[in-house]
Amino acid sequence: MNGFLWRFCTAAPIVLCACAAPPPIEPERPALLVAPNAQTQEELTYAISAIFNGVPVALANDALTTTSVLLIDRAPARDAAGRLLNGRDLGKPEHFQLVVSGTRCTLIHERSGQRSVLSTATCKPAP
Amino acid sequence: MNSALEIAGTDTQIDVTSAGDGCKFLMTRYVRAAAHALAIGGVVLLGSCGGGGGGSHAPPPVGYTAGVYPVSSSVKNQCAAPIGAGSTATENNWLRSWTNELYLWYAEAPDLNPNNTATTAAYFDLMKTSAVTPSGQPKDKFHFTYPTATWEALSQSGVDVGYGAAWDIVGANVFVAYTDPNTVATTNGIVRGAQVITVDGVDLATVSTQAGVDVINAGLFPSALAQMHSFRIIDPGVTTPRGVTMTSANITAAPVQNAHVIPNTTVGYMLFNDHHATAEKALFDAVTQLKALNITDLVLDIRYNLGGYLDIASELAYMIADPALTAGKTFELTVFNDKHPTTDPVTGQPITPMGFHSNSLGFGATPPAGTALPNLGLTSVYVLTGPDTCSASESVINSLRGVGINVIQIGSTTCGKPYGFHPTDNCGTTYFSIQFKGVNQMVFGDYPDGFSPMNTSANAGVLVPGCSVADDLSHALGDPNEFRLAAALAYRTTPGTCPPATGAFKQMQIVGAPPSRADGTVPKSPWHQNRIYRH
Repeated sequence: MNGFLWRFCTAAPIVLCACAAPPPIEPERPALLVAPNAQTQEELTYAISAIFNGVPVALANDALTTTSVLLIDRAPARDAAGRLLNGRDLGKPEHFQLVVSGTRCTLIHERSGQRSVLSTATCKPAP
Repeated sequence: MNSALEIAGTDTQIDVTSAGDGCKFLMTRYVRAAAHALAIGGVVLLGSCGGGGGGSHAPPPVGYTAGVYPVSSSVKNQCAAPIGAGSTATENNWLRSWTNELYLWYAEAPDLNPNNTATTAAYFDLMKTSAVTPSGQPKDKFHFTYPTATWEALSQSGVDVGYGAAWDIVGANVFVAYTDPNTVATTNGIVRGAQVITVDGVDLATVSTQAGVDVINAGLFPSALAQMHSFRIIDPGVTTPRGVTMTSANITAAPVQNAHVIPNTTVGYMLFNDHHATAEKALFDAVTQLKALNITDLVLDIRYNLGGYLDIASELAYMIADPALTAGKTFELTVFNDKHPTTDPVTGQPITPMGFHSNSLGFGATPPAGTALPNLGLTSVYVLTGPDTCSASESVINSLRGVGINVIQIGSTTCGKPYGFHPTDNCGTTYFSIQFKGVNQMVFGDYPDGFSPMNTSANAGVLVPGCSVADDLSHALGDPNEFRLAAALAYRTTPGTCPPATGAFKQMQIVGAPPSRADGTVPKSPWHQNRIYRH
């Protein structure tokens, strides 16, 4: 996807990006990002943020480079002494799975099934 | 069980205004990019300006009859201008009902007329018990508000802005408690015990202005990525400071570190710092490793573990204990106030005990959900603790004691937080008001003053066999000469023996304390707080 289309996608609901994508040709396999750059990081961050109504998301620079599953939590919130506000958390993290089909990298939000094609990313099958 | 991230909402502009002092803070919920930074400011401003809004003309008062409470859902989202047509009083009215319905000690909270408190922040501060614990501390030490936009921000599990060094603040001194591997800190050769002398040119020993303290806090706890700060530090074992410049980054924490067998013993050791989602695999791997090495005893170092996912705590407790003692038993039961004996009033789910999880829950990709967890089969365990041992970490201690595991505590009194929340938004502010406590198999969960080693000198919490020993920043964690670990090993050799008590009760403030006898607190990247380091 070229730069213009990416800018379009960033302004549109993520489902539009998914609908615009051609159907997979090859079976999807768990994948890792290969040498992600700043643009890839931005695209990945946006894809996740969009699923949660645009809330800010902090990712490590090496996200999805060593494992095909990305875990997303609330950012740690702490009290004035630096202690977690909610140190007895009854919830679970959100899971995202990166898959590759041919040269196309897709991020899937497991709970909702929402899919985002990462147009700037290069992926390889996870070992 | 509720989902951690059930986020819903629409773009909402929140204008928090205090008519009295002219303080004004404008933020947009769910806006991208700069929203986080704005929200950070909101922590400060909400605290000083109040969570409610004002208006150019006085809105009508809300109805109030002492002892009569409208259903909170019927008075929710009646926000002060400019969000809505409500007022500070209507927001207070919701807080009054919500507190009466859900606060664990609702009968001890005052019934205050919502019309008579000028700000919602001030009203919320009053909506709690004024009782004290046996040690004289406030019974409710955990009563907070947060801007909802900040509370709802997300991060990759275990990722936070910083350098990868956990600072140990001991009075006016700052040391390095530990580092996470492969981070900015370790690249710069920073190790446990290093002392920070200056931050961006401000000397910690002589700073005398708030502006100087602000510089120190900004450097220690960077608020965003790519912030460059300079430090002068003294490495352990040397006397001459050296300069270090570090740039903040998204740091991936290593929740479990240094799992190994103490040389010439059959004692396993592991440092467990965070109940992050990533801890499930890390604990699985560490326990598998220690089990393969046929350890007979375990020293679990949770002195800096502030808590997190309770399910992770349950898995760890299972992996430690003899399964014959945990099978079918309660790890923790959540107890709400007496209006809600059977059903979680927020999720609507039946209240059932959480057992000791013998299979992984699938927090990450590996181990897959349902994988049998390794088990050390122990009937005793040594835990190294401090004032940062909190919440889910304390649940590990309490749950194991509840099924008869001999927990030997070496260190200082834990934080005393058997409580939890269902954080709830109203009008752009998320409220944290204690709503439940966790109890163990023996239906015990009363440790608001924490757990204390048996020989703690004064103001102890619940006494546990073991030794009061201060943190020892002069040795690496996991070094058998580190005072707490050394005391555990000595106690194992000669049960009941302890060195002279040195552990602190809560936050001991020692100005100028040498790093070999320090017991401070380790705020982990609390960059969104207005003040952490104080002078």
